[in-house]
Amino acid sequence: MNRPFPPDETALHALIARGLRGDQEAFAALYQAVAPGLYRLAYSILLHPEDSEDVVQEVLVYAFRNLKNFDPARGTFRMWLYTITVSRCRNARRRRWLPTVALQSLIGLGHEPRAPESSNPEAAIARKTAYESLERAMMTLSPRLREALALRYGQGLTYREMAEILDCPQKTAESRVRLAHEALRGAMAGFDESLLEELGVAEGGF
Amino acid sequence: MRKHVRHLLAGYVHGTLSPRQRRQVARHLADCPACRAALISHEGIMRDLRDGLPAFGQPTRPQLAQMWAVIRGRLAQPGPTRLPMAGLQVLGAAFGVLITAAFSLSVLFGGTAYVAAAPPPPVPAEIRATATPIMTRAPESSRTQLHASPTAIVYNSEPIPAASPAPIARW
Repeated sequence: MNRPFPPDETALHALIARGLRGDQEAFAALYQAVAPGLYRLAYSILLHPEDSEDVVQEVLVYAFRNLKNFDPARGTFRMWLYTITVSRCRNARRRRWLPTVALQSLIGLGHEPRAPESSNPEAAIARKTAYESLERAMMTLSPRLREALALRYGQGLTYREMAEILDCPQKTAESRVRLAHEALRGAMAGFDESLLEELGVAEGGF
Repeated sequence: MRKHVRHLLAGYVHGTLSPRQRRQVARHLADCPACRAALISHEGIMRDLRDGLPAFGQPTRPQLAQMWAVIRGRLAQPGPTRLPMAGLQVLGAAFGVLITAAFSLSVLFGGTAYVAAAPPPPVPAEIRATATPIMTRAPESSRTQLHASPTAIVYNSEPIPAASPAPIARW
């Protein structure tokens, strides 16, 4: 499984050390290294661009002010940041009592999903369609299940790392991923039926 | 009848089943086309998640620049003021001394008030009057006096026969 977050923990530690000495450029470099991953995590959980931006800003202001509290012996820097991000996303959800999904994204107005750019128009359309399908599928899940999928597939964490961040037993983390998977499959029931028909399988089997 | 393993397929593709369950699923998949089709669907979802989620919610460059501007601005401001730990300890000790002094003074100079404020001493519980009179034998010395008592006292110079459900005949 790929790890989109910069895996070079040593380089991050060097930046942290510079930041602790008051080097402002180190903070900028740290931001560039971690912000995209944190935003993706926040967005995968909240599905709301502005709330995700707020969360990333809160997390990094807190982290940069409390760099001295980061203890490498207790875990990696990214694990520390992920833990704070998940916690802040939960707070953001509590603040917003109404849906965690922006209305405009539900009705397809205003906010356009940010599909990866591509020079080939056909490929770009295909990617955008896939992206929109994924976003719709994520909307059908509860925030807890989105957290599990975002950490497992979005950030490439192990179940053990997930359990640490979500503050739950490893079996619970595994169950959440499995439940999310089953919920997505339920949401895509139409696809299953067509697949079964294609394979010539009688539907009464289940 | 074959028992389908659809409920185990998500765990199967995620590798979270026990070895015994994995063997059970593998055996079943070998001769069940319906479960094999469901497995293909599960694998497709897993592939979509694995390929799609790392690119999901990618921030744009203007977004990143805007967030950094906000973060840099907030870092330039003084952080939330907090009392240093040593200050907190001094404050706590001073509070403790004040509370102790106030208590001691109230005991020394306001004893009455202190006693008045104390909970009342326990009183004997009242004897609950019973609806059914209880037959007892009063002592010889008190046979001529009537005592106010919630229990009924029956004077009888004759010995009381043993309690019996049958009525006692008097001659």
